[in-house]
Amino acid sequence: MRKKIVIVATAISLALATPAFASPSATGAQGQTISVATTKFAKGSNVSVSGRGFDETIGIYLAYCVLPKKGLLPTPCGGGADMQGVKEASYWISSNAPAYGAGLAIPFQPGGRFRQLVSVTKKIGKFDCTKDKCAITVRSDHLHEGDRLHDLFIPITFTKK
Amino acid sequence: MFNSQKKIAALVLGLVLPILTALPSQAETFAFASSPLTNLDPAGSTVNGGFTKFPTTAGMYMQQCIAPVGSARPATCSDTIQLWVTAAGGPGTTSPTGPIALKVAGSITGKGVTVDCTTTQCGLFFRLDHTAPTDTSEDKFLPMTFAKGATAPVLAADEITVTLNGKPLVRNVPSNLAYRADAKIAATSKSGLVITFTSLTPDCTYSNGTLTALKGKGQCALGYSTAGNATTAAASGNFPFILTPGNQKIIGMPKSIKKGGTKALPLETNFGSAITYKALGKNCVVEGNLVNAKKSGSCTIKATAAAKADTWEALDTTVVIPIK
Repeated sequence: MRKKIVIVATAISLALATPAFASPSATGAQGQTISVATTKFAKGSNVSVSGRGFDETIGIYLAYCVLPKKGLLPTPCGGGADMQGVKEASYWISSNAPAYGAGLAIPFQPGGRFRQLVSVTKKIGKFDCTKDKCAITVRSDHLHEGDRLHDLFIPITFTKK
Repeated sequence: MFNSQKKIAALVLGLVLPILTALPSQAETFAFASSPLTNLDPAGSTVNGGFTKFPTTAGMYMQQCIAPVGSARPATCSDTIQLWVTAAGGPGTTSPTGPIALKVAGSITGKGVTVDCTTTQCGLFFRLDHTAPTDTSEDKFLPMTFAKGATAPVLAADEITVTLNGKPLVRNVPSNLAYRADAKIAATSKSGLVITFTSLTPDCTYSNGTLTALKGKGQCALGYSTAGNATTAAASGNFPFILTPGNQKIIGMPKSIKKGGTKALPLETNFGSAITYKALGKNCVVEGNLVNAKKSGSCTIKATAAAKADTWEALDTTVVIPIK
């Protein structure tokens, strides 16, 4: 009986400590933020990723990648280059893409916002995301190569069934 | 008699020379050195040079123009023989630290006027760019002369009219453009040639007839060009814009509420800023983004949202919703 009360009390206090609307998120130096509904998955699935506060003059890639060492380019990423923009593994988000990006790059919404479904998988190439660290990532696009200031990561974990 | 003729000639020269050699009220600070500007081929010649000193205040336009009169800027400058030199970089610009090559011609056309530079004094005119449109401190005219000979065939100058939301734009004269404002660009050319637009700066984007400012501070430039054809000269130029903060709006406000009813108000402005609501009066109650109508009449709500530096203004507005 006492055990039950303790469990219920713990469950209530945990629920209060984590507000219902708080989503896992990552915030960059300029206040830009990405958030997802959850970071824990039992199997591969699509996760809705929201971004806001991004500098609309700098294009980004949104992708699911192996978490890199600090300061390094996130790679490899799921799905490889999405040249047709039809997969859900990576997205090029840019409001001022060059002419060749027409129809491929997705412009930012006002306020530097976006929302896309990103495919989360247990494996990225030979990497096993149940053992290796994988993450929803944002980085500057290829027009700002070497710019690591806009990197954001939300690590993903896979739970055992 | 001969002496009096000399006096008259001296008097005339004394009147005319100060006009032809008029200098800006303030001496320029830039230094430009180039290949000779004399006896140029009227069929087309390239002036090669470079800046050894460049202003720090703004970029510069460098154009082939007729000689200025007095302190005014030249009345006619070529629509096509011009360079935009700026350290800011970007498409369509020339770096002030690199070599400068400008193809000049024995005749120029500007704003519908054609001038024969083999008989009219033409030269290179330097001025600060659109970021300092009224600053004439760097205005300078370097005269050029052309050798006798056939000039390149004179093509008719095109007349390009560009409008922003129906209002004509003036080349090299900045217009204001607010962050994410609805800015429809329309253009016509007298020749009927297709006009191509491109945003020359990353802070704006141009697509399908719409120019969009991605920031609320700084400058943008919209470049245009036509290809020209056998009878009409190619045309190009740019329209500068000064960026201003955007205006936040609330989209999707309820048009009415039933007495005793509750409705949700939008959580964010059109730019994604969180909106704070406060009921004014006792006809309704607001909690978070939910409004509950208590009495008949109208519900007056104050809505506020934060500004974002260099991007958009704060929102502070009052909304009236009828209670039915």
